[in-house]
Amino acid sequence: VTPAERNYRRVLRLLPAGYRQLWEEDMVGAYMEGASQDGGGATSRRSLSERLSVVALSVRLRLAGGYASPRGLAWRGAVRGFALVALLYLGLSAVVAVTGQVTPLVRGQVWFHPATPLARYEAHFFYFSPVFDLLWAVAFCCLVLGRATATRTLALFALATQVGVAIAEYSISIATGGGFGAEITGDMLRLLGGDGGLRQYADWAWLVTITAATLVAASAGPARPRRAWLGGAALLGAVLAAAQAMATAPSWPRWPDLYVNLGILLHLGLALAMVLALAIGCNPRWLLPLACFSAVFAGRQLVGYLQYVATAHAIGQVGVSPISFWQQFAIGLLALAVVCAMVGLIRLWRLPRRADRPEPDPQSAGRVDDGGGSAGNQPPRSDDSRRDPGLNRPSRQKKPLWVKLVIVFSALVILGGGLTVAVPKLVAYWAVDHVSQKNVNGAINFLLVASDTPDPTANPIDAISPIQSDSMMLMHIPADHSKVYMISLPRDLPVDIPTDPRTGIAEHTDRLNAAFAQAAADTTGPDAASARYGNGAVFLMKTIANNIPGGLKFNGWATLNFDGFDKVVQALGSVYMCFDEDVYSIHYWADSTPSVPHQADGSLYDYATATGDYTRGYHYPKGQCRDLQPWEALDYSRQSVGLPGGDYDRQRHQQQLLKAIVKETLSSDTLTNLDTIKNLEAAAGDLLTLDLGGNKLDDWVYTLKNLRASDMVMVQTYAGQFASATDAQGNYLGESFQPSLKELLQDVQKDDVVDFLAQHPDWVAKDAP
Amino acid sequence: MTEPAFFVLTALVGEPRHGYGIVKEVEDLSGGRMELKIGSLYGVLDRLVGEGLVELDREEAYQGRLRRYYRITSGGLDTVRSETARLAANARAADRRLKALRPRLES
Repeated sequence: VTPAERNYRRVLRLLPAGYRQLWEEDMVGAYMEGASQDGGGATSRRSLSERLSVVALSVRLRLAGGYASPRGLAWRGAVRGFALVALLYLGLSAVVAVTGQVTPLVRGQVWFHPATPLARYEAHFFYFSPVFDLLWAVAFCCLVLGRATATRTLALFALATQVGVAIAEYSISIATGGGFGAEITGDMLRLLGGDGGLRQYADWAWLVTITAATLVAASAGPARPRRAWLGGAALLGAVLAAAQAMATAPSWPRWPDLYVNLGILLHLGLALAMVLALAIGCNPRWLLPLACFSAVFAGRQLVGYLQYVATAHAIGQVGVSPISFWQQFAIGLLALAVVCAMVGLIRLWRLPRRADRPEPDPQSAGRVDDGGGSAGNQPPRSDDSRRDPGLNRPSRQKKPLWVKLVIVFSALVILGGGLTVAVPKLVAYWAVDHVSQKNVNGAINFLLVASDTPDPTANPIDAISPIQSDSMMLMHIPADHSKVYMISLPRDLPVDIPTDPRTGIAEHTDRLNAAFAQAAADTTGPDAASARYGNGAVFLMKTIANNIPGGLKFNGWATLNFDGFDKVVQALGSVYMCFDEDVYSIHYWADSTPSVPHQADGSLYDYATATGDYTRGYHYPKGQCRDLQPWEALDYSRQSVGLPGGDYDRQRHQQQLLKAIVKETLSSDTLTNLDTIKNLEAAAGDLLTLDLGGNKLDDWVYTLKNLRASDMVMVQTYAGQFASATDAQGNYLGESFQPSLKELLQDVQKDDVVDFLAQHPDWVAKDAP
Repeated sequence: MTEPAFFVLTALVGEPRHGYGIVKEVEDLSGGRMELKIGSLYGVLDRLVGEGLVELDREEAYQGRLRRYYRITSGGLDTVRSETARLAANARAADRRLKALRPRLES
């Protein structure tokens, strides 16, 4: 054997085993003959092009799939299964996402408030960008129908649009300085599961993997089109879309929590599918893709939790939120995926590596010297007969005991887990829908006052100090109950304070929070402790109405002591917030031990002289987002010293905290869960004073059960700018009461806030980045 | 039908040939334009055999190796005929156009 022949045979090893069995000798012969004809030895150039032709042949044969061994076929089936599962997932997510965008649009609930043409473009672009994701759904259909070229094109195009959207998002966010749209794009990224950094790279890798698997699956020869699958997928998509439409449309019957729980449904579905795949025959074609898919999903959730724990340790956070039920479920899912992958791989390895059916040997059959009859002497090449029949139907092999145990155990866990989560939720929905049927009709105005006074029972000295309303918010819900406008009212707003015969307050002009404080100084009333808050709140409402032509009708009010915020957050465990600027606490040192702000000697901050190196305080770094411990949330939202916007920044942070609390409540599906709300109320105790204006809490919950965190619109007065008023001598009189704010309050009265905000888009507070 | 496949089939018309013989014959037939690589040839042969257009004829010992000879089947002959007719029709159509062009060029 010459070296040239040995080299050529080495290259031929690239070819599928079945093909080599048939053609190798012949190819070597022809090659060597050619080499000798060329003059004793192959020139290196010729030899290179010959080798390349073999490589090309091998690629072609492998893609066409004609000569695969049973194991190769099973691998190919697994890749195809993976592509199908992944495309189905991406497609269904797209259908759900698009439905979620289109439903409110059709119902006229979407309202863009762009300030500039670019922002308008941005808002629309990101609002409609999920439409691109539908390409995955189309690619799924094409793959099922066996349209190779269409599948390949669509998958590549879908990936390209993802890249395009990401680039557009990046460039727009730079151009607008991270303006409006941050929320929407954030949601879109969350759809991919990434909050940035490593996870986002992993998500891109995931998309690229899915695309690559789709390309391979589409190229792996013709597969039988399965129209029934399309029917099933379409049905699933229709159900999900209908559920999503109902979830996003307030007045339609509600589908229990699909909106928030799509991920949970997916986890359950994957777990069930894996148990099913184990139970029916352990076919690696389904076990491997499902295991791979589940591992990625469960892994992503766990990595998110680990990142959170790592961050918490890095910044020296004291307590870490415990692992949630669904994170535990993710661990179980991961374990199940590992078992499935192992079973699948073992099954795969047991399959023969070579084509099991011996090809008819042309050497024995064809040796007919007269060149005559050689019927039936063709190397067989029928595509369908080449498939291993055993792979297409459930294996009748007996399952080992441990596999049976895994199946039974997983089924029990999934069933039990599903029931413990689903049943209370369904009961809660039933309760809300059936126990209380009373709607609070019409537009709703509600006064929220957050006060800075420490709990009088905890500190008797403070009990006699005046109660200051630290933050005042007018909550306005239009008559269709589709939105919640949270309008922050400046503390120092000069207003006309009406007479109050009960307390003897005479008509005069003063700052808005003086109205609360003056009335709250009056301790007469049935219950002295809470009466002070009540007196303050009632008079505050009277004062606000006094400054609006035609007055304003309030449906109720609530005052919450800031320590009450603490309790509410404690009841929730933690809240997720982002810091929109660098904030240093004047209440805690950098190591999170409490400081004593009232002392002048070397303390963090001296109230008397308004000096101090507050940057030595506990730091909330700009741009960071994380779960806050109750004390942190409270502390962050109380700081105003050293902030560029001063009290405005504090108001904004308080609004953000309020929104974060509402989001937390909504995301754990508790708004419609009366128990939780009642628990929150109980937790706040005396610190929360509530007047629901003659309606029961149940009625409120029933009325507002369809509102979501995304329906909250934070309105900041004067777009968050100072608008100070001075007298003739230039003395600071507080905030000026400008026509724009008067107009807003009038629009509240006329229930036409949408119109006002359309003209004053910059009054809509951005979410923290 | 790809051009290499057409040439391989044509090379087998009338006479069974072995692998390297086909390469040589195709080179002659195409006037040296087409130099089939062994990898390409056996890709084409594999497909043609699978489609039943070519089959094994015989094996002969040559310089210590077995040469396998392939011959065209009747189905293969039909394919070459119809393909040739198609190509000829194409060529005639193009020819007519070109001839129609000539007087104008000369004038």
